[in-house]
Amino acid sequence: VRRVWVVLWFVGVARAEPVPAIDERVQMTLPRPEVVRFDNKLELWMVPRPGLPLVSVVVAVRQAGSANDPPHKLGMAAFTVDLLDEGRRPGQTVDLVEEIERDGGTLRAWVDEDAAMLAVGTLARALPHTLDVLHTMVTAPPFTDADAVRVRDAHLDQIRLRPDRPNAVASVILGEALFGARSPYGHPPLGFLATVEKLSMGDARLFRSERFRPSSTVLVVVGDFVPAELRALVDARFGGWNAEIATPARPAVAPPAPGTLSVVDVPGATQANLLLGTRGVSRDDETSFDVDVLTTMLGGTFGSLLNRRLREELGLTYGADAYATFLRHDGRVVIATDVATPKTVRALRETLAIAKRLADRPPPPKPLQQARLALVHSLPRAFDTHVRTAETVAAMALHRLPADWLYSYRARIEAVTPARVQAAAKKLFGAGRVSAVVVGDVGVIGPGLGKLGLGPPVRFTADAERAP
Amino acid sequence: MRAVLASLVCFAAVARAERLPNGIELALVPEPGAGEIAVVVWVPVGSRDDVAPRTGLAHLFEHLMFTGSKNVPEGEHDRLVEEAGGWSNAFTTPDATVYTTVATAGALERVLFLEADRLAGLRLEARTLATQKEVVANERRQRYENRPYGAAEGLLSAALWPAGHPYARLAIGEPAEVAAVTLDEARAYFGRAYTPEGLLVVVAGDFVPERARALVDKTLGRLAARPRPERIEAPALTPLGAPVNVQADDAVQTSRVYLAWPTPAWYGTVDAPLAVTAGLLGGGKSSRLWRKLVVETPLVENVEAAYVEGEWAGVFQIVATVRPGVEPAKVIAAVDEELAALAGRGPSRGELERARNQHEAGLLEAQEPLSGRALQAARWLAATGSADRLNETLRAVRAVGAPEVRVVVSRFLSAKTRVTLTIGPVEE
Repeated sequence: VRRVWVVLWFVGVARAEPVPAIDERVQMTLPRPEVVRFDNKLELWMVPRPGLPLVSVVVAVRQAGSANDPPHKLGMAAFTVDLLDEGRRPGQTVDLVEEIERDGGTLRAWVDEDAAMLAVGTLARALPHTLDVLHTMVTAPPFTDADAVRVRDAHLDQIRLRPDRPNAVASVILGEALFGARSPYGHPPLGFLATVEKLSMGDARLFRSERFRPSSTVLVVVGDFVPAELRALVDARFGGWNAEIATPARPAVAPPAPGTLSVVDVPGATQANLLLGTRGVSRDDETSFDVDVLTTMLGGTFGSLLNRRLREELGLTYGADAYATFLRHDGRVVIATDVATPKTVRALRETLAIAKRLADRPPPPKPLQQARLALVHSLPRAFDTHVRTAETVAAMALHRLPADWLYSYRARIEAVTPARVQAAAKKLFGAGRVSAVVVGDVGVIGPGLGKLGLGPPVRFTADAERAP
Repeated sequence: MRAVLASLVCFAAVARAERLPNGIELALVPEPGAGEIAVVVWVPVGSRDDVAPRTGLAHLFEHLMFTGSKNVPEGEHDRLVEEAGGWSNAFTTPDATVYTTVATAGALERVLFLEADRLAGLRLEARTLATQKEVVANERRQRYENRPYGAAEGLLSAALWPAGHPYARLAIGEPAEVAAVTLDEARAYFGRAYTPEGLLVVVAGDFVPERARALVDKTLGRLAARPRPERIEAPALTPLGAPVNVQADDAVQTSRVYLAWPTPAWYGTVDAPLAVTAGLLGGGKSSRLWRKLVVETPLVENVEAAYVEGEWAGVFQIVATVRPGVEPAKVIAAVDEELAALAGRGPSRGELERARNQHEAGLLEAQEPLSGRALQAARWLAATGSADRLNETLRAVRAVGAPEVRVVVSRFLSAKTRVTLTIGPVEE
């Protein structure tokens, strides 16, 4: 039967219609942001896009992220940013957030490790008013003590509720394993109960005044506007903002520690949440493009090595991903998958074997080429909405990349060789580099966890604290 | 603020639907300069067409559609799309199974070829069937079993619709029934359900329409005509005669309250008022429920309201995560108070403006990504026969006033005709 099948298969291949090639002549014209630097050093990055009457505005403030939390007040950046849309401007009848929402806008405020971010998507005609409101939020937010108490309590509740989200618990533990407890990049942006309980309105006011300065602020606007008019609008509002004061130095990032295996026992869980990670590189590191290609090949697409093996060949999971995060002064690569509890050790063994193979020898040409093509051909997707375009451009500004950086991206990715990918894999996944976190039913997973070469499992509680 | 929108331009229709000789309904939505294309294939067969003891078949089949076809070996479909910088995914609703592919614009012919190849001749093999059953089992664990409050969707569906109604079960099906699907059943299902007649195809993006039309003829246009799949008739829906209360435990730290009401079939006259009402109640931090329940009292961590359309019927839903230590009954009472006020006095002018403006902005934003534009065009085509209803939809939203809001709240959002689901921590 097998022989017959082989013959039929051969005949089938011989008669197969060729899959159409990609027509490389059709290329998107990538946006080239126009950058204006005002006298107070505030940067305005503009990407005009006529068409739908919409605009997206992002305000990104460098050195105002969770890595800038004072060590005894972890969670301060997130607390501050969450307060910026609270309160009411003098002479207004509605609160700040309602001013935005009445225009049809949506406001988001968040912090990542390196920056505080505010983003508004709204109708183009509301742009001047949106800039008014953002100016108030950034330079003189009117939040009150009552707002601060409420927002702090909400953050405390979110920390208390973290055990409901196994992936969030794993992420906190992995951050600590990779960067060290309570280090600039090693703690969750929300902070911990003990550090958030102490936060007050005064802390938020101090953090804003120390960190939110014109020279650290980037304004990105994408959408339906006239650049000269926008420039005048921004100048009229932000041009007179002068708030340069000394900023405390950021603590240094500790060197990588040996990999660890952390385990959170969740009796009865039908799946185990697996998070593996390793220290990566910053975007200005010369190997960052190698890391792009490596992680795309490993788990950045549906047809990647991990998803192909764990999901499509072995049926162990609904999906497996790998992704790189480029921080301002460091980076990380994370692999994430959820697997049926009894399959945990098998899935970990397969994952580690794939990573090790990449470190031990150059990658096969086909997956490497597919990863390179996936990266260069997916570039338009970073610009398919105003919001995504604004966030892509803001990320470029935060990484201090030039406005024409996008134009060299394709050539840089195409220049990544098998040897460079292997070198990156060796650095990232070499012996003792990988840390793993398993959140699941330890009794069902069994003793195999201790035999994976990741060291003895260290127990954590569902609150992401070391178990006694 | 209303003036902001009063001057909005009306958009010219860009999507025209036409019927191919084999029965496919095609709409082209050109977007010059986008650099990408999106192709949506809308198969008019969903989980409501599954018949026990084979619930979950439509969804399992959605997975099988990526496992290889006549000219595309197993595993190659995704690779061919991804090396074109794209992605390919699908979802199964009670009403339809929908496939979306996005790729660089130069890969339009490739994407159409891939769609036509799997519609013409899927490779169905025992090994891939077995693997995809495992993948679906993992999907079930990830979406419903090992997720906080993951049981909510199933409990709500079962409570909202009469026993035995196709909407009353999850699209993912019963695990034992999915596990029992045979290769012959899968093959028969493909022959029955995946016919060109009735398929809706939307192609959006950076192409010249004449060239795209020729490529469609060369690929999807060559599929042999076959009869349209037979679908079951919509069972009569009896409104909930009395409130339904459901309580469930989960491994969570705090309770979550779901209030849900059945609503009429999609694209009727109450769509816009219900959507605007959802925004009024729970769309953003200045919405009525957020201000009352999160800011003023504060009883909950977060609250949102949504109106979800459906071909036979829709659902209006309010979901609130209760703050630890707060009694869920207090939250429900506070929501009822706001609903009564809305039914009685109606919304203020300011909050109505906000909700209308936000909904209009949301409709425009949904047009931004090509995948969203193609999907919306396919949904409009399926529901109304027209692929471009943006202007009508915007006009309907602009026309929603306080009286319309009061009417839909009084008529559809009564405490007497709703499902109240509370999922709380397991009692020690």
